[in-house]
Amino acid sequence: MSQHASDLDFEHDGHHQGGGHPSVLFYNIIAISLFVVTALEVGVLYPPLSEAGTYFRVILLIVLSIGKFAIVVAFFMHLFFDAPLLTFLFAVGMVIATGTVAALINVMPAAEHPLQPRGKPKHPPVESATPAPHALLEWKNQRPS
Amino acid sequence: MSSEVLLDNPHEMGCTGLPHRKILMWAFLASDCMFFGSLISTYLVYRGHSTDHPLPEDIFDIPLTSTSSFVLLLSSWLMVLALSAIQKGKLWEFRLWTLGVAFFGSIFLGFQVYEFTHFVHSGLTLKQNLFGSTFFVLTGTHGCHVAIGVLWLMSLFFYSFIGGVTKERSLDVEIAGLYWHFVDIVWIVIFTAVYLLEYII
Amino acid sequence: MHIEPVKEKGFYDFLGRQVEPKGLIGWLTTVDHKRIGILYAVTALLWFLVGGIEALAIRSQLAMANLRLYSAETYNQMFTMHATTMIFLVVMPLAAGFFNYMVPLMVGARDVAFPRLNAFSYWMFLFGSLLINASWLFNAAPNGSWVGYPPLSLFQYSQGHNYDFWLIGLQVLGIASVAASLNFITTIINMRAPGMTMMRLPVFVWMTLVTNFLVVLAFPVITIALAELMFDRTYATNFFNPMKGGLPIWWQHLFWVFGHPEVYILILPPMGIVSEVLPVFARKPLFGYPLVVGSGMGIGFMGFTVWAHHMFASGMGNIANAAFALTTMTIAIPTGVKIINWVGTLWKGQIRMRTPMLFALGFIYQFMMGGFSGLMHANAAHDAQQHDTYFIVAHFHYVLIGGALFGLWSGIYYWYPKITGRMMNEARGHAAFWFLFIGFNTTFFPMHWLGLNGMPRRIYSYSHAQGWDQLNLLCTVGAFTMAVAVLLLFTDMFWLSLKYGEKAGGDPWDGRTLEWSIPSPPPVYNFEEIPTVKALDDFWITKHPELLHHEEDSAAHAAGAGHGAHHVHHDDHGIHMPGGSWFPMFASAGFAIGAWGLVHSGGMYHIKEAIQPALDAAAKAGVSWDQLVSTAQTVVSSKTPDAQNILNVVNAESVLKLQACYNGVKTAIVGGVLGVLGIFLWALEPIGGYYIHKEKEEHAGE
Ligand code: HEM
Ligand SMILES: [Cu+2]
Repeated sequence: MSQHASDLDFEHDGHHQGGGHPSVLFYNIIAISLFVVTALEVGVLYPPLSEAGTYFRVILLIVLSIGKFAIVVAFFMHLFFDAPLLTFLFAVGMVIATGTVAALINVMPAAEHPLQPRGKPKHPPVESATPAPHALLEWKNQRPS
Repeated sequence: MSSEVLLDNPHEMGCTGLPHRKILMWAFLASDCMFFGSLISTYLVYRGHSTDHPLPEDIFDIPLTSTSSFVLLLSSWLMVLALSAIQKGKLWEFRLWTLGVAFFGSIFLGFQVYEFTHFVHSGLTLKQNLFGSTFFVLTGTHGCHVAIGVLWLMSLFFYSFIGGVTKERSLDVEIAGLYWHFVDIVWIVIFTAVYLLEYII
Repeated sequence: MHIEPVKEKGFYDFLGRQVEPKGLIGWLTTVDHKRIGILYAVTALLWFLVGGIEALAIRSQLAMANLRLYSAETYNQMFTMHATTMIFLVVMPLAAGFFNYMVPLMVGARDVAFPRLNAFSYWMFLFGSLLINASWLFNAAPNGSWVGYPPLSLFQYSQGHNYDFWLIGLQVLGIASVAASLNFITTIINMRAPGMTMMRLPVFVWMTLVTNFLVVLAFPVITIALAELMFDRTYATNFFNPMKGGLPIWWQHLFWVFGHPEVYILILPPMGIVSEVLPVFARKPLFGYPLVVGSGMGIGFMGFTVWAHHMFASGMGNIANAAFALTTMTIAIPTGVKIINWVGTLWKGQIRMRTPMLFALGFIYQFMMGGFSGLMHANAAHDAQQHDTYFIVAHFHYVLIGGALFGLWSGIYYWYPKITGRMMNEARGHAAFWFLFIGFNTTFFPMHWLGLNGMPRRIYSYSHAQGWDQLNLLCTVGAFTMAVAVLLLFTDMFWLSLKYGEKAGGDPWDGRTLEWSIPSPPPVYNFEEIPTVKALDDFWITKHPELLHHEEDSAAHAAGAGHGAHHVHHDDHGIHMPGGSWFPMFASAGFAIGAWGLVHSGGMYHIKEAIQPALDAAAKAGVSWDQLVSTAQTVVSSKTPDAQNILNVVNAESVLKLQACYNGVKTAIVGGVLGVLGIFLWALEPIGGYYIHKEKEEHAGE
């Protein structure tokens, strides 16, 4: 069998991959902007800010890394230029994964909320952690004799 | 895709006008989102639950990790250049960039090996505390993905010398590239969620 | 018809790839979706016998109060392996058998998108199933229930390899499932025949698609959970170790984030089968096709939002309990929509009570019952009474046997003529149905009462004083009645009907979907010409143009041309078929060897930690590891400590265990390398295969 794509291409809007590849210059611009964003991310850590600034920084960091994520997916991985079907496939995974992770973090008993400012560790270092007791359970002779 | 590919491999293209392998790869990446999602949520959920030192603030080294993040980003850049080269049929340029991707991927791995050794010397092991367990398993799994990517790209590099990588078969490179970029975006998330946030909250 | 091999070059020729695979080698190297489908189904049915024997063993032990037929330890292994087998080795692969055989036929394709990956999935499944069952031979079958909750499954409390077999076996099965699902997602999206738009896909194909998305998204989570537990056991990490702040409840979350989608992975394919069977035997189109499809997608998506209803009794807090109770009750809505649509399909239909139809009707009733009890414990307050009692056992057997298994049996009776070319005997089929139906309800209905009377799950025995005697005996009688049905099905399927059944034509049921448009059993290339599809239920409409109501369908058919007369592409090469390949089996065998090694490395660091003083003493005395091992061997055999007094008998045993762990790691590395090598060779292998040329006069007339 050798069905040519064109013969089978009855449903798709004719959006073929290979239609127009972005130029090298475009890639370079994207790459440089990614470097800049990464530098910003690291830079966010340094200016001394108050408590309120902490929230600002957290939000900024999250926004910046979502931005980076989106840029790589859209342009380096071509989702922006490629068939919408592929975006759909990936989005299914991303949406369910993001939702599940968010729910899990919130439903688990947290020592402290992972996204909450924290001071010193709540648990002081334990001197010598006792090794867990090895199983002493003997189920072998269950039959009453 | 030109028609030579179809003659070469008649089962390649499907009714949506997309090659099978591309659909497979994206579905796999969706699946990998859940994979890393579970690992990252394990790390975050256990944050602050460790009963022993060392804790992240004792040992993380931001300049080091930032450098290695830049290195991985650089490799992603070279990856798109490699793909763009092979799509234009520039074989030598493709080889150069691919080698570059694999090289910087290996540098990233080198940083990771260094970091791990350093941590182990500071007393952080898999079994020392929860931080050790979750940290090493998360970043180690990511490192394994990088290593597989390096292996994959090196195979393409060598394969190109026996005529296996051509303009018509640039899909092979594109698929490997998708994988590589995905590994990169996972690192983007890990870098923020594991390292950077640690310095603020 | 004549066959012309593809001219190949290269070193692969020495493997003698068969042009037209025949005999045993043909089966071992097959990449044909129909053969792989049969392999899946037959393997699953064999495991069904094993799982059934385990079930009978459980029911025998519980038949009367204070029985001691076998030890409590064996009982734990029985119920753990029963559940693991039935879920992962029976229902999932049996459904996968139908995916394999039917999906390409129903979408009008010659094979799946990646035939060799498909073979790889099967071999991984086979080896994984063998691995997990090999534990019986070592008297180390998994023994802490199919949910494997820590701390019971941690090394500290389970020092045999029981849980290592379970963890690694499931890991292998997970790889098999994900690989297969990626393949089917691609096939369904990308290999539909011309005109087969998404909204013309048979419902079974739709449910396959949703199921495979669930597999692809849910299995990674269990992969991580299993890996974390495996690390806890082998490398002494702390994920679930309360001594170091780990939270066993985290396992429950990860497990059920996977576990609830998993139960939909089990039920959606049978729902698809029933949605195919009902219209055929009611001789009416499926009522509300878009709703059935949509609610299938809805169930699939919402399946990810309800997991913590399995943990209502774990103290998550009121808000979480309320939220998950709400989502759980909501998910019953799309489920109810489906039931309404099935009943709507039957409404005013010309019903033919053939065996597949009986099972489909049984499915509707029993699945509905299971849904009702599900709704009862969807209420978190209610569930506090029901959790971990036999009420839950009743619930999930109503959905899993009454639902999933009845649906799958319906599929067996429905598609058997297509697969074998022979009809199954109706009288024996009816008998099997009634034995199964009566046996099933006798077994599981009383369990509702037992549960509400407080009988806990997974207990080895109970006393007279508890007053559960009569109902338990009734359950056991029911279980043996079901066994009769299973024997009837098996003798019929593998012997009587296979040998003496009357010949089935291409379309014995007056079917609606494309698989009935070709001969039974289908030729290796499936379709002589790839059909062109103009409507939902295209084949049926072609046969019965007079029944056409739908305007756009009739417009499409007004052109009149008969079915399948459309040439997609005229091709002077003939039909290209891929050749067989050894590499899928080679690669999966490599990984299976690696998995075997991993099982035997279980407990490594824990053992090492336990004998660390002895190891230090040996190091101080300048004793090398090899010497230490041989000393340990003499110590163990002579049962006296060695001269230097480094090893006492207990330590010596641990040294030998540690040595076995190290060997396991080595085996794992070797196996992994072999597996990767297999994948490389497979990637480089040319497609090869052969061309089939059809002579004009051989065209089968319709
Ligand atoms: C209306 C739909 C359903 C609802 C509301 C529902 C609800 C529930 C709830 C709340 C539980 C937890 C009970 C407990 O452990 O206390 C449960 C358990 C279970 N359900 Fe369902 N369920 C539904 C459908 C299904 C289906 C379709 C299947 C499988 C095909 C299924 C299989 C199971 C299994 C296997 C368990 C027990 C797991 C275990 O603890 O071993 N359920 N169900
Ligand atoms: Cu559930």
